[in-house]
Amino acid sequence: MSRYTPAACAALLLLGINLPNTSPARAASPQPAMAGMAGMEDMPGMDMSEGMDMPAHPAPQPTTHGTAHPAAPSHTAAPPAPTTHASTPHPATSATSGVIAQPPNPTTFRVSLPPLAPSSQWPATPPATPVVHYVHNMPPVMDHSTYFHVLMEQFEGRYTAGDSLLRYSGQSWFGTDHDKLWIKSEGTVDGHRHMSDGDHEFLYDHAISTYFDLQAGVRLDLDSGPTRAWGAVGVQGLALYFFDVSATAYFNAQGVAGKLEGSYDLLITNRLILQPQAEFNFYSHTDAQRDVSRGFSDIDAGLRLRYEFKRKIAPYIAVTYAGHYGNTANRRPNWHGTADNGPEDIRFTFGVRTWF
Amino acid sequence: MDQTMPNSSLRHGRSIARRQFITGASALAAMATLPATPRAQADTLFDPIIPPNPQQVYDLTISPMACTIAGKTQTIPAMNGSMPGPTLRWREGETVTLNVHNHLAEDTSIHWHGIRCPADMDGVPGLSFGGIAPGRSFTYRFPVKQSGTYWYHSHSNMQEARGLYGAIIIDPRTPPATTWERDYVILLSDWSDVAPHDIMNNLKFQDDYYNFRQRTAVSLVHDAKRDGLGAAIKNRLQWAGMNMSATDISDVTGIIYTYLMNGCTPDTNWTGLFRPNERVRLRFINASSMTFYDIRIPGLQMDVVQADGNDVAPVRVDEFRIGVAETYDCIVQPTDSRAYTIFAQTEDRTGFARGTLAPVQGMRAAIPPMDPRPVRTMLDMGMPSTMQGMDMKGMDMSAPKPLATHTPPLNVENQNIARIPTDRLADPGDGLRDNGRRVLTYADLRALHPVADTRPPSREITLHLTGNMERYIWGFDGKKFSEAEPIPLRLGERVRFTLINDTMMEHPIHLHGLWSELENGQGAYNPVKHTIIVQPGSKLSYLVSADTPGLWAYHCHLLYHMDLGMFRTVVVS
Repeated sequence: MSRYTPAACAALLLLGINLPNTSPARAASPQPAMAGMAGMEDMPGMDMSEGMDMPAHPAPQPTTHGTAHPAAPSHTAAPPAPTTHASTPHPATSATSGVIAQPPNPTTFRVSLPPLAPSSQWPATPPATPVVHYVHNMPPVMDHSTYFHVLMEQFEGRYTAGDSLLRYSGQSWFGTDHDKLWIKSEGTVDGHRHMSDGDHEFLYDHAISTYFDLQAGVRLDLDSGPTRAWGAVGVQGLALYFFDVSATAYFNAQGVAGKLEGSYDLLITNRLILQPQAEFNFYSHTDAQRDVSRGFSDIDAGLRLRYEFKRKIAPYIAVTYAGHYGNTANRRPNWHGTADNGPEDIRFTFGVRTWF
Repeated sequence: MDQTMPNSSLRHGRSIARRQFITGASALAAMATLPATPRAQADTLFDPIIPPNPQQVYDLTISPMACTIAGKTQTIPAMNGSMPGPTLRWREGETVTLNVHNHLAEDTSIHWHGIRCPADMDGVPGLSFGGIAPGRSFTYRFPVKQSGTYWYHSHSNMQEARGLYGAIIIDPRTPPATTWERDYVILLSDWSDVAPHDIMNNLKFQDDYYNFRQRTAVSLVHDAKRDGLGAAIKNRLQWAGMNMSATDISDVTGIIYTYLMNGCTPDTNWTGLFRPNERVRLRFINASSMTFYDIRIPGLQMDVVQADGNDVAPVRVDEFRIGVAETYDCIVQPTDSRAYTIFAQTEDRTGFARGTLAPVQGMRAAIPPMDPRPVRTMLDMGMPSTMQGMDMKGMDMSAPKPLATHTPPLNVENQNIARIPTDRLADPGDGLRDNGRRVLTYADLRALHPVADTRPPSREITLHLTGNMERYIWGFDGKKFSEAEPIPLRLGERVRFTLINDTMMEHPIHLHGLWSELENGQGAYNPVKHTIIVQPGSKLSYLVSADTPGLWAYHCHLLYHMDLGMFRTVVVS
């Protein structure tokens, strides 16, 4: 749901995640407005990218400082002579040849404001807040609307000779800024129409911080294998450096489980986006019928390169990886298609990311 | 079309026939696909778009109209069959009657922007009245107590994003402070065939949906060449570490907007005629939903003589920025018999509106290239001390900081706190500093007439402008409208509003019904405005005399910021 700079990947590679927590002053770098203007342009029909010269423009008007502005002339038909900057209280605003385009002394307030002068008639305290009755009970703006969105992040074919898989992973939410019904669903279908990894979650979502939501509800493992039901509690949101993450704990009578998911959008251009993504599953117990192992059970990961022809329709090519670990890694029931390619399953993939 | 009312025809009988022609011609022009030739009246004093005489009674019918702009046709709510709507001309001291008839299938309303009318005439559904239901009419009637350039727009269902707006010219009761031979309205607007609700929905899902100029791996190569790899990466890390984007200039961009001048696309090229050495008054109105413009006329200097309808001591500039809902009147005096381009590039530089001043129809001048787009800096985050490259010596960092009386929390609805809000009144704004041109700043504005109420303020109301770009929620003090209390003012009270912009975007803050006297150091000559841009990371204040009772809207005039919570009700009682 967000755009990301490639910088965070560089940070991971070069520095590790924790390092950038330096003090702002040290982490700061010169970013004067003019010097920083040569960004990437990716607008069709617009070519304003780096290397732009300043257009020819009229020479700046010589500034005449110093003349304090006289009392305003009374109504007169004669046009007052335009004063060039005559009333400028801040001489440093005159154009200079400087490259660093910053206003002077921005933390010093030029204007000394007249002090407050409360009186018995006009006290400094605010009056009591009245109850407002809107006409026809109609608020002037409707900022508390509900929104409905569906994001099909993965809808893809994973190819190997003879046994390809169809994989999907999507989520949908409906609700207000603060409270939503959130549905997540994913699954993998093989050439024999056997479905595995069917994970369907129905969650209540509540915004708890600037970037994170708390989610709670149920998870159903519903596919060609035996059905399992779980309670679910987790968080989902945007970590700093623009990482989309979620962490969810599941519990039922048999034990507990956990899922960690993360992805990152690395903009190569404004429309060509490389997205590394991974999902890790953990279980407190082995469930051989569902192919999960105690401890670290499986990974489903992908490196997807999408092109946003439209924001909402982006085809992609990818390399995907599905790995099973632990004591179920090598014993695969017959119904399960993914076993054919071994526990370490790397495939060429293509698909489309859509949302509305 | 029925604008010739009995009393005005008595008083201005000779102008009736001409006005009828004019109304039809402006409707034609509003279709924006025709060249301006029907309006070519080189020998008249006024552009035909400005009615030749003030009128006291108007019948304004809002009805669906098919409108084709940039090759795309859509049905819009249009007033009297034109987009923009007809220019209304009133006279100070008269009482105007405005009969608004709603022929749409939805509610509508008209708000007279900047007009000091009684609260029940202000046209905000829910606050002033119940709106105008389909098939119904509403009569606005109020005395006109001011003069200058204003505008009107719908305050219902985002109709102002679909073309329901127009200009208001009010003749002063006394002779104007300056003279001119020719008078034009330059009404700027942003136009899209994407429905406003779809735009809002898209922004809710992805705040940078319309921003295709973000920093990328490719641009990193260029940045690294210029600044060095370390510096380029560091800068990106700094922004990513705040989950903020330095390229966030406008939420909605030229990717879907066509920028219009008087309803004309840049290609259609609205043209105003002049004779050399004439003084031409240009009344700039920004009727856009989401777009700031940087306006200049290469080859001409502009004398800014009025801001938001109130006369200011003339300031000669090459360029000025106009925020959404502001108005500026400028006088230019072209001496050469040649064409001049009126160039209004958007702040994010994704497009421009354009028109021409020319001695004869059909002439055109070169269109200048757009400037480099601005990139936000730590100054815009309210963290100027983290900027290198600034002259820190000149900055007395030990001086007492202008501390806020309260700071909003960082929460679901607020992403940032401007830790050191700055004074940016003398700053022309992001993308305009040190561009070699003389650019207007708020510090340049000085009222021509002293304000009537010279009392010092008795109390101060401090508000932070807040938002969460990722969730696309906007508000004051970390709360959107539906969660916030109204702001109470005592009738007769004089109050200082202090605004601190914690977001990294400009917000044009508009207070209905009451003047906002910007405290820029001019004392009794502080400029009087109805809409005030608060630059990102900055702090400013203005004085308000609560002289008119009622419920008044107070909001950011960026349409989607207003509709998503940056709105409060001010109660004067």
